[in-house]
Parts: sequence; C-alpha cells; structure tokens
Amino acid sequence: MTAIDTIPNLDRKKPLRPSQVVGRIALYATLIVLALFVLMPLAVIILNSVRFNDDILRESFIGWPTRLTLENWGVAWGEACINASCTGVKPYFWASILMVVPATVISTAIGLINGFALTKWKMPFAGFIFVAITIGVFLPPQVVLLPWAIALGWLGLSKSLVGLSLVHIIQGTCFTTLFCRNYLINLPDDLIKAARIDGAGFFRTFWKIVVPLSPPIIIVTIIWQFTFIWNEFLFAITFSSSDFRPITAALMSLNANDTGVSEYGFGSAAVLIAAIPPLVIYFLGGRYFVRGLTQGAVK
Amino acid sequence: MAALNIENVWKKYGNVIALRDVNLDIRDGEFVVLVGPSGCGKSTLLSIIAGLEDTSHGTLTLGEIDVTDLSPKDRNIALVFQSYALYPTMTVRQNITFGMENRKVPKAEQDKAVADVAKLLQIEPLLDRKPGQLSGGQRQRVAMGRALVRDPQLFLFDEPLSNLDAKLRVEMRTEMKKLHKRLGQTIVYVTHDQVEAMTLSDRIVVINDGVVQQFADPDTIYQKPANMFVAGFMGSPSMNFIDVEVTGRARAITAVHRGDGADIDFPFGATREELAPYIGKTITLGVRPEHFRPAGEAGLTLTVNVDVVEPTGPDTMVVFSVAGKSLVGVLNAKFRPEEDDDVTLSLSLDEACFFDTEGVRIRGLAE
Amino acid sequence: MSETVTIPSFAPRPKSRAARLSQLVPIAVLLPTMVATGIYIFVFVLWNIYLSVTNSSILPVYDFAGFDAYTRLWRNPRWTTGVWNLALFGVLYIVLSTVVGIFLAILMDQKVKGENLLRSIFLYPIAISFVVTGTTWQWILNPSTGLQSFVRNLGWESFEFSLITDRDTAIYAVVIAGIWHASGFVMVMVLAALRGVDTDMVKAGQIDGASMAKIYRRIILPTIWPVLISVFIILLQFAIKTFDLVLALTHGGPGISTTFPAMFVYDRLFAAGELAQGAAAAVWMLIGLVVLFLPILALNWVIRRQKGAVK
Repeated sequence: MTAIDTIPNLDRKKPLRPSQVVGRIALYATLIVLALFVLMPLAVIILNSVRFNDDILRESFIGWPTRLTLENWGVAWGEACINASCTGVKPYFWASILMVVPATVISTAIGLINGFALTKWKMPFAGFIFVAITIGVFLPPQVVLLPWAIALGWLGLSKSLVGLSLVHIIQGTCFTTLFCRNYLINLPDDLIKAARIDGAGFFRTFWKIVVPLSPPIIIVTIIWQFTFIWNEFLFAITFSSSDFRPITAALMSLNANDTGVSEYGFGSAAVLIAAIPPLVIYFLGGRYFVRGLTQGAVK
Repeated sequence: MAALNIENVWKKYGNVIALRDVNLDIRDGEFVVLVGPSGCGKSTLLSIIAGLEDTSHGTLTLGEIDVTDLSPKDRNIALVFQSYALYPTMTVRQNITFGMENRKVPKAEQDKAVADVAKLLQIEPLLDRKPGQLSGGQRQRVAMGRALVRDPQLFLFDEPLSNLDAKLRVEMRTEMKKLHKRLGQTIVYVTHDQVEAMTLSDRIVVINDGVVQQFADPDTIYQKPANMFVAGFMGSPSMNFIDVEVTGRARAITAVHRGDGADIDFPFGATREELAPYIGKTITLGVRPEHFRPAGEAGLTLTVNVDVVEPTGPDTMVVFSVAGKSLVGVLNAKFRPEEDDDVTLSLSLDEACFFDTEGVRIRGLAE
Repeated sequence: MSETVTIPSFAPRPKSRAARLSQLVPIAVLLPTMVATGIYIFVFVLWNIYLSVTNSSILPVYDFAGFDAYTRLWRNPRWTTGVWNLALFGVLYIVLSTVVGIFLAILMDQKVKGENLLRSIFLYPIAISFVVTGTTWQWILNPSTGLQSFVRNLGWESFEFSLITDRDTAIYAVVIAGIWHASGFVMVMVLAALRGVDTDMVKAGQIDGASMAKIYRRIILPTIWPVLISVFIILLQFAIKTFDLVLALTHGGPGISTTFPAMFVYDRLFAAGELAQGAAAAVWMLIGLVVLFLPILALNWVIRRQKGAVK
C-alpha cells in the first residue's frame, strides 16, 4: 500500500440540478402550506383566548389581536356559567383528572400483567381470550350503553365518578391488554425460562424481569389511555350529572349555551383548557405517541 | 455432581412425536454432547432434562432422585442458553445472584460465591455492568457464571457458542474443555456443530427425527457409525456413499460398483469376512474424503476426472467423478490438479464402512 | 436402530400440589379480566339485543315483543338521514383522509429537513378531542363569525362560505373537520410503513430504470397494504362512532340534516325514552360494523397467507 499524502475534500456536497432545486422548493412550499392549515384552528383559538370578545364580534373570529387580555382565562377557569352554575371549567377539569389518572394507572397495570400471563405462560383458551379482547377494542360503545346504564344503576354507581371510572377501566383493559400483549410477545422466552430455572415464580418474574423491561410500552399505554379517557365524550355525557361531570361533557354544554351573545373569548380559553392536558402529554411524549400508533395498530 | 438416567422418554406435541423412546445413561462427570440437524429433537430433550417441558412418557433420574415431575428450580440443574438470556436490566452481579436470592441464600454466602465465580471466569471487572455493555464473549462468560454459581449436579448447555464469531468460538471451546477437566461436572451440551461435538465430548448422542441414532465416544461415532445417517452427518465433507454389489466368495470378496460404462472393483480379499453373507447382494460402501490420497501411497488405484478444485488452506478439496459417480476427496494442500484433468488417486480401504439395505452398518466379525 | 417400539399411551401424569398451584397463578391473574370482558362483550351485547326485542320505552321491560323496533326505525327520517349521512361521511372521510395522509407521507419521505417538527404539527389533531375539534371548527366555519366574515372584512364583500348553515352542505363541514383530525394519523402510519420497506427493493427498482413515481406506485405502495388495512379499520371505527364531533360542530343541524346513527341511539335512549328502539339502532350499528369488517378481515387473511406462501 502506498502512503496517502493529501486527503481529498470529502465533505463536498454535490450541487443540485436546477430541476431538483425547483422540486425541493415545491416540496417545502407544499409542506409549509399544509402545516399552516393544520395549525390554523389551534392558532385561532389561542389568539382568541387573549382577545376581547367585543373585538372578536366586531372583527371576525379569525383575526390578529389588537388589544391583549388575560381576563378570558380567568373567566373560563372560575366564573363562566355552564348549565346555570357559574363555576367556570375548574370543577370539571378536576373531575376529569380524578377520573382519568386512576383509570389510566389501573387499566395499564392490569393490561401489563395480563399481557405477561397471555404471552409467557401456557394458558388454556389463550387464543379465545385474545379474540375476545380484540372484539372488546372494536365494539361500538353504543351497543353496551344501555346495559351499562342499567348495571351501574343496580350497583348504585350511576352518574358517579366511581361508575364512570369503572366503565373506562373495563373498556380500557381490552385495549391495554392488546397493546401489552403485542409488546411482550417479542420478549425472549429464554429470559422467562432462565428465571424459572433460577427459581422465580410468576409474580417475581413479573416484577424483577418483565416490569423493568417494559417502560416503553408502559409509557405508550399511559399516554394513549390518558388521551383517550380524557377526550372521551359518549360515556362522559351519559354517566355524569351536575355533581360530577368530566370536562368534555361540560364543554359541550358551554358550547350549546345559546344566550344570544356568543362569548368567544372565554369560550376559546375553556376549549384550550380542555385541550391542554392531552396536548402537553402529546408534545412531551411525542416519540412514544407515534410508537404506540405504529406498533399498536400494525401487529 | 450426579449421573443422569433417561428411560423410555417420549414427547408428543399435538400429533407430532418429537422424541421417540429415548434411553440414555449419562455417567457422573461425563461430558455428553447432543448433536443432530435442526428440528431433530435435541433441544426438546434438553428442555425436558431441564424441566422446562414435561415428558409425555418415561422417567428421568438425576443421582438417586426421580426428577421427572420436579420443577426446574427443584432439579439442581443449571442451563446456559444459546441467547445467554441474561436479564438486561440487572447488572452482571445481580444476574449471577438472582437465583440465590430466590432461594434465600444469605447475603455473605452470595458475595463469596460471586467472588469465586468471577475469579474463575475472570469477569471481576464486569460485575457492575449491564449485559448491554458487554461483548459477545463476555456475555457468554457471564451466562456460564450464572450457571456455575448454582453449583448444580448437572450442567446443561444449549448451543452456547453459536452466537460467537469463529475465532472466539474456538477459544471458548478450549476453555470449556479446560473448565470441565478442572471442575469435573456432569454436562449435557447441545450443538449442531459436529466439530464441537467431536472435540468437547466424552460421548456423543446423535439424534435424528426424535430417535437416538447412536450414543458412543467420538472415535466410535466417526469410525464405526451405527448407520448411514450418523456416517453422513458426522464429518465434513460428508462420507461418500457408493452402491456396490458384493461378489466373489468367502476369503476372496470384491465389491463392484456398476457405473456408467465401466465398473469399479473394490477388492477386499480376506479382510472383510463380515461381507460373506451379502454375496450377490447390493449394499452401500462408505469411504471418507480423507481416505483418498495422492497416487503412489498404499491403497486402491483409481483414475478419476477432476470436476472442481477447492483449496481450503491446509487441504485441497477435490470433487471428481469416476465411472459416472461423483465423489469428494480431501487431500493435502500440495495436491493441485487442474479441473477436467484425469488424475490417479489412491484410496485406502482399511477404514471403509458397509451399510445394509436398511442403512445399518454391517459390523466386523471382531466387533 | 430399526427395531419397532410400541407407542405408549400418553396419559397425563398426576402433578404435585405445588406444580398445580403454580399453574393456576396466571389463570387467576387473568380471571378478573376474563370475567369483566366476558360480561362487557357477551352479556352486555346480548342484553342489549334482548332489550331491542322488548317493548321497553322509558324503563326496561323484559317481555318479548318481536322485531318491531328494527323495522320501525327505517320509517324514521332521523334514522334514515343518519344512515345516509354516515355512508356519505364515511366514504369521504376515509378516502380523503387516506389520500391526504399518503400524500403527506410521501412528501415527508423525501429526506425533509425539520421532519420531526412537521410530523408533530401534522399529528397533533389526533391528540385533541372531537368536542374541541367540533367546537373550534364550528366557530371557524360559522359564516357570521368565521372564515366568511374574515374574508369579507379583508374587502371581498361578496365572499360566500356558508357550508355549515346550508342543510345540503353541512355534512361537508363535518368531513372537513374529520379530515383535519385524521390525516396526520394516516400520515404517521404510512410513513412508518414506508420506512420499513426493504431499501434493496427500491434500489433494484432504480437500477431497473423506474421513475420515483413509478417506484412508489408499483413497488412501495403494494407492499404496505397491511398498514392501509389497519388504517382503514381504525378510520371506519371512528366513522361509525361519530357522535361528539357532529354534536359540537352542527348539533345535527341545520334541522336534522347532519344527524348520525350514534346520535339517534343516544337520543332514543336518554332523551326520547324509547329504549327498545335505541337498542335496536345500536344493534344495527354493530351489524353494519361486522358486515364491513368481515370482508376486510378476510382480505387481510388472504394477503397474509399469500405472503406466507411466498416465503
């Protein structure tokens, strides 16, 4: 081999041909226009939440704020009238939190241990259970709405926090079990066998081997369950009352408030308050959100 | 340490019989290798010995104890997996102690055991790392450590070297052999690599289609294979099989291959009297590739037409045909014929084998 | 080794108590889910079906009364309009979201700078509830406050954009909001599938002299069929359940022009006090879902089998 004296410039980029330049410009222009279209509704309500309602009514709902105010947020949070009770969205926001957090945690935990039992232990009827759970994911909720209403009444849980949480836990467990099963089925069986030889039983293997390996799917499942239950409306409106009402149901009432004068300013703030928790989760866990989509659905 | 007795073991999955009447008596301290093509049942047998699978029929005795119905943790065995199956979220130390934790071994005892094993396997600097930070060879050592620390009566290995690169595999092979010499444990070792089987084992079990074909020491397996499957499976390149008709009479026997256009005579004279009952019948002659030598050495002289020459470094592998029959020979590296040349070779028939129509080797009269 | 051995009987061996106990643990763990899911899926659905063949009005009654509720609802314009709307919405929503999503995915697949940011922007609507989506779009599409008044304020006095207030076009407002909500989701799914396509196949196509458009059309898209099927199933689900989006966007109006089957069910059950008819409507929804699902599942199965055969 001969020694190399000079290293040629290796970082030189090949210049684009004119047709490629036009192509790239068209590509970015299209993407930016579409992105702006997708962002538009969010941008509009963010701007409206800091505009005066008079300005919105005078200038149109779509517009740049000429004067800024934070008053809308305060009104939406603590004073706006929904169904004749002027408490703002605050109680509904907390009601949603009280429902969503336990339901998410419980359904995720059950889903994970179910997934472990289904994939790593010889179960009688494992195939049948899998099919049943899949049906549970796809079942239109309308078909079980009436039985749920009657059953919750029998249990004395109708229109209560516990009742609605129960509905979400049972329905969500199908979903979380399916998600976790699809993840855990790829865990090497050898690990479980090694643990058996090491003398670990079901629960010890679960705690010491499976749970430490599951943060990716736990995060994905929590993100999806949180978003789904927070955003859910049909059960929320059916199984709630003025004592306990999740924020999606309350928002619909606010929206349907036909008093003649539309209060777009604090309406926008209220809508944003309802959208913020899932959006925060989405932007914090975006990577996992996407992973959940692509892994959970394509199995 | 203990002997392992496998008696009449069958395994059935659905309608498929994976193991058929397996009987093995593995002696205390013996290094036994299970070898066979993939899907032959060797891994199933290992799982059954480990207790990860139930038997459909038959019993297993380890030492004096019937372990057939015991769970893996009660069998006093250790298993090294092909994938190593190290717990990815635990450190090397935790991997090694997990089993002792489950058995509630006192902490001081655990520490001492880890220290001993780490020293033996030279993995002391790795103890606080996670498996993901280790090289393939290091992981293999940790997996061995996890098994050694149990101080089991029986070690099981499931293709433990197959994930290593070629050079490391040879090193680890030597090391395992040394370790066995030093510790004298009873070992059952599964592999599909016949070189591993030949080099490591005291005795080899050749399995095919769930049936034990032969259980014997490596030399016997190689030189006196029980049947054509064993003969063809062990050795690379494979043994050459030639259809021959036994002719002549007792003490003057010749095996004749009826080839295309010409016959090949293999004269045995009085050396193979076991063939006498087969006179007039067609059987199979087996000759190993290394039984071919350059012309001039002792043996039967054959003129062959060279098809392919493949130098491997120390040897030259030659594919040639004679009387329309394609054969493989392994000769020394200096022997380099041109392709399509006619060359003369010498074939030593001293170690030739014969198989009857069922494929079973015809035993010599002295055996 | 050819001596024949008699095959023994493979009777299960009696197990020790500890062994049997340890086998029961995973079953015990799954039991609550099995019971709850069993009740939820089978008992509740059957219960609902039973209620649909009773005379239940405001309160459930359990005397069999025939299939009257199933036929009666086809004479109800709220139901028939709803079914028609669902069909129209379903087709437009699924087809257009998929087309837009694939288009976006292909654009994003061109080694775009800022891919992560763009993906976050396109996908965020899926994290937003239908109630919020519907409410916001109602404000934007409302001619007196939204886009129409905005453009008129800019000086184009005759600008007309009143989809949502016209009973013939209000359904398209729902379609627009639906596409806005779902196309980012389709994009992400398709993009992930595009990234999973064997690059050697694309290289082979390039060496064969195919244009990029042709490579997408002939090589890449046919291999990502399974993802498109998943997308289709999920969008179909969303479409059939459509409820909160319309409620927030048009409240089923003007009149009943944008009513949907799911709204009909809710209305019968909890407003009109016609339990049997609401239950029957829900069963029709289930039947619709099953009828649409079965061919897809069959197709999926066939495709998977063909793939298996090639391997």
